[in-house]
Amino acid sequence: MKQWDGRSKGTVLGYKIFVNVMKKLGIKAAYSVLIFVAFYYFITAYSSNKSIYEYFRYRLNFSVLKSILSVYKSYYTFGQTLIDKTAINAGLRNKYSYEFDGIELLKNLLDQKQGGMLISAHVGNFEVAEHFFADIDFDCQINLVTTDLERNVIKEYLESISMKPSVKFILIQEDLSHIFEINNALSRNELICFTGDRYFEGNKTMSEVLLGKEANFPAGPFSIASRLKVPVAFVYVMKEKNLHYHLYARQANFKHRDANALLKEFCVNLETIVKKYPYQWFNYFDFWK
Amino acid sequence: MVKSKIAEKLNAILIDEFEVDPSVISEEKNIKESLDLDSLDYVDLVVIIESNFGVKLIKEDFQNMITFEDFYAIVEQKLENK
Repeated sequence: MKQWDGRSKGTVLGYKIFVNVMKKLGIKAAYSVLIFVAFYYFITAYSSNKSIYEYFRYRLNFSVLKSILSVYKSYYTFGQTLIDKTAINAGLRNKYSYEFDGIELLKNLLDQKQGGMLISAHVGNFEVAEHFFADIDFDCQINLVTTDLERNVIKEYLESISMKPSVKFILIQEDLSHIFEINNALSRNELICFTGDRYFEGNKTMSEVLLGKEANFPAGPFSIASRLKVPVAFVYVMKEKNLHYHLYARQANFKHRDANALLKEFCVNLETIVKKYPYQWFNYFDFWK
Repeated sequence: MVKSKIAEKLNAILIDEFEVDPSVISEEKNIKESLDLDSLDYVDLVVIIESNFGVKLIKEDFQNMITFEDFYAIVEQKLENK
């Protein structure tokens, strides 16, 4: 897989099994099912295995043996985040604990009444953030800008069992309606969130060094965030031991219209997170091609 | 504001915002191709027009906007109806 093909792994049946196990037997029981599911991917997903192995071996400089074991651990951790997301959406929020690092920054950002832009990545579990925000008097709608390709039957199924709408999706559309949705959301003082680490064929890209090697990133999020004169922050929601999450928010400091500087800062910030949580890098394709 | 003045002002803004050579802009050229706009760049375009001319572009405006000339005409009409 040379670049992300726009599709997430798994089937609706697989997700249904998880949801039922989780509801009837608990979250930890659902985790135990992952032992087998992660192993299945570990022995069958050649392309993903290769990409994620190279990430551990050459980007994080793990030994050969540790890299192989880490491939399995990566799938297992990814499965855990999916279970957590489903569990939280299905009303099991009280089973989880959390801590914030930089929430004041997000509050200050909204105090400016201009809306704000969040740039995240496919690490950790960003989509559960809103449930934790609700607990700390940070009641703000988050709009995640995404593409049609990422909307699939799995997400539709997961949304169908959700107790309340969580993150709102703004889909990038041919008719450009997303432009107005983004502008309207900002004018309502809402947050617009982009993932800064994946692009599709036909998107403009920018390159920057991440973990010691140059990679391509989507130009759009960095270009818009650097031009729109709204505050910008990097956010990550990372899973820790047991059922605990750690939310990070960091202010992005860059010169107006300097998209390259913003991307560079994003990479420095993302690198810190990835090194701290190496098993929560969920880009299972050749990121550094 | 007359059309030629609108075009002049728009061109200056586009050259500055999208960092393009003035030679890429001419009335009959395709605006998307000339400015190398992708789907997210249009967000900038809407904000630029609103902040510089005080008019709001709507979704339908983009359906008829192929060339720079179309773009000038749309902004001109918006200003007339302001």
